[in-house]
Amino acid sequence: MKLPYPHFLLLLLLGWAQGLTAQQNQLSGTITSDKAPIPLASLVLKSERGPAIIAYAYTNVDGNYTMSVDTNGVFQLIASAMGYRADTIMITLSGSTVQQDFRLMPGALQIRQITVKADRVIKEKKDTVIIDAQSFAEGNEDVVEDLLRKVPGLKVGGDGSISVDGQEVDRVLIEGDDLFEQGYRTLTQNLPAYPIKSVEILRNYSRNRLLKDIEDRQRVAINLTLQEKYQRVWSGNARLAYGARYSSGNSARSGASARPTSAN
Amino acid sequence: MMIRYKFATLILFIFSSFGVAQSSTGEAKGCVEYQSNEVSGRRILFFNETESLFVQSSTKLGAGERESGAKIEDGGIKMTVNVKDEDGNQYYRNFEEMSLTIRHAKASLPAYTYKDDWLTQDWAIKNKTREIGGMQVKKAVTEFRGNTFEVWFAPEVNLPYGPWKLFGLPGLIVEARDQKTGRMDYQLQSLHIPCPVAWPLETPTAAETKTLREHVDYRDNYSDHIHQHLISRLPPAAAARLSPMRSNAKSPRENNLEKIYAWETKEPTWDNK
Repeated sequence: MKLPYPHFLLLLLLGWAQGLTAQQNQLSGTITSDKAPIPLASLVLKSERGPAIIAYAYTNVDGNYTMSVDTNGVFQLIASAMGYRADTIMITLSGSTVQQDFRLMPGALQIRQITVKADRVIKEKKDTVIIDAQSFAEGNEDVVEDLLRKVPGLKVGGDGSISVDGQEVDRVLIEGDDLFEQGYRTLTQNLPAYPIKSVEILRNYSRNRLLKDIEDRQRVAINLTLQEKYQRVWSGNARLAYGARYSSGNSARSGASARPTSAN
Repeated sequence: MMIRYKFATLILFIFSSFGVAQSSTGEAKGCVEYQSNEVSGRRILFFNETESLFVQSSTKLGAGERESGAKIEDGGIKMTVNVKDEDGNQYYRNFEEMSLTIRHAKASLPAYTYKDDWLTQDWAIKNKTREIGGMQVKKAVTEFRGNTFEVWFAPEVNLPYGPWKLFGLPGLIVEARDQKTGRMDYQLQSLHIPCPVAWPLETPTAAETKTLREHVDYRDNYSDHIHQHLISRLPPAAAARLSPMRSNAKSPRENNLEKIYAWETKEPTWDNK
């Protein structure tokens, strides 16, 4: 009786070696169209069904790609390139080196237009940047300050001070009225955010119109415009908030957040 | 026989011109416009099959032109830096040559270009999905030069392009943010194939060129360069009183998206730079 030791060992060794490589699948290949290689074609390996991307690669100038995959199973392999029709195959990986070439058919460049927001959310006039406030609102803003935090380009400090591109804001106006002077925090920390229509950044702001181009220092101010339905109502409320400037934050807030119906 | 020969030449001619047309550069096939937290001007990513070019702070794309210079006020000197010019900041990637060229726009000091290294970005694709502009987009994160970048990309637009220096995902980057400075905040505004904006898709140019290391050194010492520039423009008496400026930043790269380069071990501070 002969013991098949050597064979057994060899088998063991083979099995072990295979076990080692089982996690690493090496995929490679060339993507061509009419024999010419396609550079920058994308290869995306997705789970058998479902959108999860397992691995991806792009071809180089010679149309070659390599992809390492550390899970085994059945996958979709999608090859596509700009100006070509995409090709999808199903592929089974089980710890192996796989060569998978694609030949793509030319397809019309996919014409598409996507516009996330029809209107430009940020408009620029000479010295003024107008930002559509509600397009940045996420619905969880309580007061103006919360809304300003979400407007790109504006920074609200821990103490409530506001700066635009690093420059501190001088004044915050409402519909062009400077009700709070430098104590604008009373306004921004108390006025509810929902009536605000747009945030205007006035780059070359001067308190005196006649001095606008004479004053040396460039001041930055923010003007808040209100949605039409709140405009008439606002003046009454603003006075309330203004009057509450010297009292506690809470009462100022309750004054400022009076609903339009109660003010009417 | 002669006719055949002519025919063959004709075919050859057609083929070669086709070949040229295919690999022709200089023309954008599509473009993406982003909104950003930098308040002025448009920022657009132009692309074709093998090139991408991201442009911002260009007056041609509506960036406001502001005067640059120094004014004396309240006993101090206030300087305004004009960071905009016609061609603006440009980031050009050529995927065939694997080259990345950046044009640094005029910022009081002249514009220049530099060639950056082609560094691959290892993206971790997250399982998060949301919808932007009717497209299903996925989240991905990468570390690049000591900063963390979080992006959303659109797998259905199978192009490896993105704003700034970001690239290499299996889909166009439609939103991008950085963690360290918070200055990067690009959001898709529109995507157009073909592109309605005319812009040459080619290697950007400027009168000056720098190496990557020269560029980094220049940026780290930017306030010194500006100081020199001001001295040369002020009357001698005023220039003599002008002491070197220190920017408000805590470190030379506080506001830079790139923190650490390959030849460094940590981000420089004002003291050890």
